[in-house]
Amino acid sequence: MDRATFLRKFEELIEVPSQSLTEGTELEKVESWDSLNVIGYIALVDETFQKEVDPERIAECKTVGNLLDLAVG
Amino acid sequence: MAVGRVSGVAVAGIYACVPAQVVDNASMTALASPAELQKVIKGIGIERRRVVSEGQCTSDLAQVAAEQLLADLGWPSESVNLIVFVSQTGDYRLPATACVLQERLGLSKGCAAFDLNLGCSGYVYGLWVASQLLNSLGGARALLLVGDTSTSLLAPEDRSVQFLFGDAATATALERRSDAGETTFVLGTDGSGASHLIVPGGGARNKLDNQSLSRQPGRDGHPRAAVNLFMDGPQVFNFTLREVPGLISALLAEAKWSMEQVDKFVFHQANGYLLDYLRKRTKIPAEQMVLALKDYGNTSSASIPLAIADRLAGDFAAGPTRLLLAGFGVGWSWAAAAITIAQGTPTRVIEAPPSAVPRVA
Repeated sequence: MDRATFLRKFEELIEVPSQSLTEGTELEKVESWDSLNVIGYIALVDETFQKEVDPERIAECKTVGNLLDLAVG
Repeated sequence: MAVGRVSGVAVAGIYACVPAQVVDNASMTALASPAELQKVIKGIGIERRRVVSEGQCTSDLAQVAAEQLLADLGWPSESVNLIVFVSQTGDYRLPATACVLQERLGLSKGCAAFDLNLGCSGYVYGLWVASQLLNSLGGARALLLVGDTSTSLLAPEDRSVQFLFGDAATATALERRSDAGETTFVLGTDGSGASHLIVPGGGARNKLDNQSLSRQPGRDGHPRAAVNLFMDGPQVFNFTLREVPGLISALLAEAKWSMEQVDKFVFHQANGYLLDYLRKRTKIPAEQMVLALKDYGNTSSASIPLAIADRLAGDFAAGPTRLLLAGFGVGWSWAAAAITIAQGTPTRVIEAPPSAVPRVA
């Protein structure tokens, strides 16, 4: 799955309008990026890429692009 | 993983006791807005929880469940030779709560009694330990008392745990029966996760001092004291995905059961989102998965027997029931059991009034 497709899935997960996020969007400005959605993100990465992401690295992410790096990269 | 097998020991009854006090998550407006609360309730699948009243302990709830169970089974108190109390919320630092309960339940002095300090995996551990020991006691009966009052460990304003945990305790009666089949256990541990789900203060490592009760913002920003429960939800979720699917497949292989032969899967009721994801990941059909957390929350060690008592009385009445039990969490510690419950085994949930049992000391 490419980054753009994963970004659309991520928007769906955190319940924001499609195409409303870019890779540069800062996570602290995304109101619905909360602890429940951190868990949803872990599940999404597990489901999509069969990959485990370290919660400490999620906490270090500043932008949506950082989350995509962690998932796709 | 460690594999254990026990034959010739049957579960004679499983009773649960919950406090009468109900707390609706939707009413917790001091901690979050109504819209946020609705989102949380939907996310974790927990609408309400049972919470102990002041002075009510895990042992009080366990006592109510055990007394009713002994009465309904018609077991004379002197026929019980073993009490195992599994909890992380015992009455005292010492003595063991199992000793206190021996006296409060009127059991004979010819009774072995001890505590096990485990949470999410504790019920399955307790079944394994008590069944195995019963076989060495010869002709005996055991009471396995398992529960927690985790709400007493929570910082009042800690939103990471306040909506999740409820209180309950349970009593499971075990006895040797020559016709009882084999129960298979699989157990494992990864202590590298200890710091992710912990009450760090008040033990020997971080002794009580005049700072122990002072609440400071933790690394997640929520205020809590050293004697309060800390939980890193994403770490718990990650651990579960890493270990539990393998635990289930290992147990099925060891027990030589297929997925279809399991009547009901009863997992530790951690939270609804996690259980739903785990169910899909392990391809368990929804109708085989037992869920009881909507009304009780996460009751720690009590959650598996409470879910059984709340949901499976009809199954037990209808015929022998093959259960796959799986507990996983604090430790990290995990344990699963493939067990067959005989037809007619009684199981029920009892409500304890606020002052059912007087305080002892």
